[in-house]
Amino acid sequence: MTVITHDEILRSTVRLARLSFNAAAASVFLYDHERDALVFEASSGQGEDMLIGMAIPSDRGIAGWVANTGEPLVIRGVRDDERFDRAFAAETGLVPDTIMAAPIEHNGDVLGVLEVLDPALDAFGDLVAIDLLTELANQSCAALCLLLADRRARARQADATGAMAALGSLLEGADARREVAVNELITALAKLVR
Amino acid sequence: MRTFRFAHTSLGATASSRSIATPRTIERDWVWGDATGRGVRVCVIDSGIAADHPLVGGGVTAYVAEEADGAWVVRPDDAGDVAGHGTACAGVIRSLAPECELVSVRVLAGNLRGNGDALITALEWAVAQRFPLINVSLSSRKEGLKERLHDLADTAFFAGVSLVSSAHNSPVVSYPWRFPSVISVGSHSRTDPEYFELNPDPPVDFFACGINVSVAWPGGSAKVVSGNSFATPHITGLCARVLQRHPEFRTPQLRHVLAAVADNLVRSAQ
Repeated sequence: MTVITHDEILRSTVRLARLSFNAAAASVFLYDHERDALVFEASSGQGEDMLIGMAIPSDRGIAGWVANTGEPLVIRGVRDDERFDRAFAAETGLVPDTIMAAPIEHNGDVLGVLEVLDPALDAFGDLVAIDLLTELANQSCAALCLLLADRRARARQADATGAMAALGSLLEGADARREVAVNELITALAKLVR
Repeated sequence: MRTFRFAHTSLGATASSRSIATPRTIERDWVWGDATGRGVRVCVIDSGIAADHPLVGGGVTAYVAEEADGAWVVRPDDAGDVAGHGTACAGVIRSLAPECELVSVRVLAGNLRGNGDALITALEWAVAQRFPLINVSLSSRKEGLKERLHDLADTAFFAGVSLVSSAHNSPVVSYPWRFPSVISVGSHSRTDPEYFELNPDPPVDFFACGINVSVAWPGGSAKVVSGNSFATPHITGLCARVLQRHPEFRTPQLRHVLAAVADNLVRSAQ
């Protein structure tokens, strides 16, 4: 099986978000614990990939609010905001008027923020759009968590030593044709430990 | 009217006046009349407040909950609003209760990992200060915080401190809005800032104006925003009016009189 990468999941997420809302762009920030910053990881649409790797403080702006509270929101009129980051706009060539943002959250811990710039919201209504974006973020988060869990399991297998690890690795390779034998082994093991 | 069919948002349902414990109709004129919130102390736990914004109107005392030397403390703050959200909420409160006193406690203080501690610290401080009203337009999904938030909400309830808190925008469980000791708020899609609904299907108590709301934003501008966060200060503002008229009211009385004058109440013979 081809191994799906972290970047592929993020790229798919931002593309799906942009297409779903017919938006000018969509981007995802992930929280970097070491720097305590939100890092721009992937983008789709206008200015795509121009800001990858840029970090912003985790307690500032709309992304900071969403990351801190886990609450999605829609805000219009950003273009008129004197505080809007003009350098950001100059880099991407995009000065959005509307930003919709949702947290990428797992068990109450925010891993990042998914933002959509200039979404076409009339077809949805704001709260339905928020709901949809939140589900997209949840799906991305679930995929990221599965990926991380898989990486951890592979790392454990690679590092494992001793009889338990040898047993685990043998069973990992057992296919359906070995089901009868595996059942006999489980029965024998159960007798051994009871 | 557009109907939004998902959690924590008005479905346009009505509520029966039979659920209101009163022998006669309660009118808004008695509940708040021409009150402006004068003298009522309202604490806003949020991203800070840009006090000089014309729609806020000054008169804001500002604090921040932050970590200092390994301990979480609340102390005076001059950073203003670091995200814009708190100014939006403050502007909504002042639009309905222009003469209320506002105190801001900023809980965005530079450390995402500590945001739960910041919220707990801010709430503990605000309850200890005995603010009659605390606006909490945010919530946490962290199960590890649930018990402490629950204890704090109960402490506030018994101390005569009313927490008015946003239900999560998404159909998820988060806190503190979900506790019965908290007045919880979701959104409806009408534009009248004084129109609010009693929810006949808890846990959300009330629905207020939370979609396409014009709000104050730092820098002197205005924005149009959507989210339950912005419905909540509408109810807080109305509560400030009520408390000017009836300063002895606490959370149960506030919830009761708001329910009695909700716009979706269908009056019928008792």
